[in-house]
Amino acid sequence: MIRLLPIVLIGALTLAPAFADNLDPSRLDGCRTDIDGDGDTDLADLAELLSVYSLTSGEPGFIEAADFDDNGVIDLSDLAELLSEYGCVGAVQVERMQFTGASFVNVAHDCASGNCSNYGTPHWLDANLDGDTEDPGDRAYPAAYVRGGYVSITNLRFGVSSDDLELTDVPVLGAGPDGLIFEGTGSVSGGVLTVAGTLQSNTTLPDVVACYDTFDIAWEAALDGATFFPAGVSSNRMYVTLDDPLGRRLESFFDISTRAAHGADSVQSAIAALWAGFADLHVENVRGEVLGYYRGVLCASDCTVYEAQGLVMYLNGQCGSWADLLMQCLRTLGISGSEWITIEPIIYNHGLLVRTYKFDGVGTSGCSSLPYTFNSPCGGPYWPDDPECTDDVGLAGQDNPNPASYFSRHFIVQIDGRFYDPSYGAGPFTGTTNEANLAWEQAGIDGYHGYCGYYHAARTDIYQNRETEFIY
Amino acid sequence: MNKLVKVNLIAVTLLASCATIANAQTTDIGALTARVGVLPRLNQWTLIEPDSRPALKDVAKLSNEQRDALARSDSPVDRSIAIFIADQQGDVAALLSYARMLDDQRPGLPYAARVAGVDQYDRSDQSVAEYLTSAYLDWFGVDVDSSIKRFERYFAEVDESDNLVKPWIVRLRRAKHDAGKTADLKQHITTLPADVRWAVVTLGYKESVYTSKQARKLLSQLPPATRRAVDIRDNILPDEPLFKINRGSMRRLLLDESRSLLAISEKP
Repeated sequence: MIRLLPIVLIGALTLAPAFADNLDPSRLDGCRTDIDGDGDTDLADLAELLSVYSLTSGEPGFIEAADFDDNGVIDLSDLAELLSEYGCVGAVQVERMQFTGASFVNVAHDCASGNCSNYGTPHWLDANLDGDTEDPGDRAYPAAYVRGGYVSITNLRFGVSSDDLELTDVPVLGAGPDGLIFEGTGSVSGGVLTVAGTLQSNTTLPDVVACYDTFDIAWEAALDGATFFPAGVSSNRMYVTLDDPLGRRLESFFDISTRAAHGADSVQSAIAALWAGFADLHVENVRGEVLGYYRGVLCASDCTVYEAQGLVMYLNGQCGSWADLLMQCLRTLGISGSEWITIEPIIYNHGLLVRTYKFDGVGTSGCSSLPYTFNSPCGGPYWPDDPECTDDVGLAGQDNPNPASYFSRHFIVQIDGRFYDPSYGAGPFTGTTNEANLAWEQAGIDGYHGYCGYYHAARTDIYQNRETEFIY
Repeated sequence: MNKLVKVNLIAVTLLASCATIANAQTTDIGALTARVGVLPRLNQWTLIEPDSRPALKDVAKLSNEQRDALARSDSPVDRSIAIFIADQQGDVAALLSYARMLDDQRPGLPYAARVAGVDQYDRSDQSVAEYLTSAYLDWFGVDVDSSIKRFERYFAEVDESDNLVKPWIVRLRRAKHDAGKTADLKQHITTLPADVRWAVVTLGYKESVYTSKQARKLLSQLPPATRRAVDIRDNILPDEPLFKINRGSMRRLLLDESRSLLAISEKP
């Protein structure tokens, strides 16, 4: 029987939802085969049934709601019943709603430059009332709130099965995550249940940073004024910040910061958690694309992304863009006061060689301050013989084991007297500024480069000496 | 809005009516400002292409009257340059008086981008409000996010800009390669009220503009009441923007650092 399942599954996947524009009055109490309780019978329910197929009552994982015929086993008859009802939605189905309120914050689309536009309203729209937002014209837009605030909902509408019903004072109930309940009253006319005004949650969001991949609100309506029946589920991504967000409020900034700092309840814990998200050298934008530091680039000039806005779109950037990304994530969480720091060699016109560089030979450049011959990765002139200073693999940066390492300068971030290098996930460097500066240098600098007459040349870093400076 | 800023904004409004006079003054500097194509943020001059630096140096020498005439102009470019000049002059009161520009979302002059490549320079667009926001962040350590409302929240109780802690640190940072200027600044800091002085010295030590020896000595010279207030973490910090951010984390950091320095200084 199990061997038949793939064939059955393929058959089911090709079924178009049976319901398009007529809600079935007989479904007032919802769909019998709605296993996950979201108001419809769809692929999620089918998948859930298949995951427990052949299990019997009492076995681990058995789902009673999938045993439609109550015979104690999830079998072919249950599967057949689900398929017969596939595409079912209830008699009342949430059609649209939007978030609002004093703690609500708009989320802007990621865009490469300029001012990025906010997501529009309503935040949830199931235009054809088929129980999902996957069809043309549908939407499930992200929203954000500041922690500890009330969630409010307005522009709430439902489709109702009968065009003839004319009702007033219809109670509506929504159950969201973390015990948030929304209560209101609507009127039915012309096949639409409209809830006037704003529904404020009965309680506030938890007092922590949060990222809800799906902030599901299970709606119910009581058309008879007393008995509540399922009315669909609205499902949006929701970001909850520590404080009022600052800056451009791009979706990826919200996603990176709240996902990393999920559960944080203070500035210190939020910074620590966010930093852990950078320190592992794996940062993804909201689309799950991994962001890189000079990926595929050994000459810095070949990468011209300097700001976080470009980084989350182009997926690859210089250290300036990574410093900016950390700062924008802090700002989006509502953490103020981070500053970018420029690091340059103390000696004017010298540049940085970030680990790893090999220095072989005795130093034959002819310049005492830069004794080793060296060829720039950005082009000539080249020494006639093999250079004495050469680039080796590392130091690893964001999603890149061997990023560009030949620079004029580098950029990091300071907040509350601690210094973070997001490009390499290094830090925080602490102590006085000069102590932190030396620690940063010891962690990543192998040497310095500059011109020796016509050619490039290099020297090694003196480990115990601070030879760079934090400029800010 | 604080009294200082209010007075300056009134002054700016009144002077704006003297447009003819202002125009006469700006006519002479039009050619000078026209040479400016990019501005540094956070005093990061090395990010400016070398050819563009002389014009910036020249324009930074304009008088306060010429600077304020630029600030009164309706041109976002002139306004950006006025912010730059006030920043370079370290004229904190002038910067605070420009708060109304936080409403100006028009593109101003671009700023020098954070470019790491060798001999590589680039520019990034910014609005007048964003440039002023970056200047406030540098001088006062707070992010007003192009919002007058946020500015007022932070600066409402600022009466005397000379007694703000962070600007002294910025002045010392910028003077670190000028021994004479540094000595003058440090001398001036010894004349500040004790409740400001201890914070400047402690933050200065943290930022390596004072050595631990210098900081311990200066802290040991504080009046006993101030030292005791630091020791018991009393609320002695001036009500300055820097200490209002991030729910007191900066305040705690500073008190911890100062208590640590005081403890060292009291060892026999």
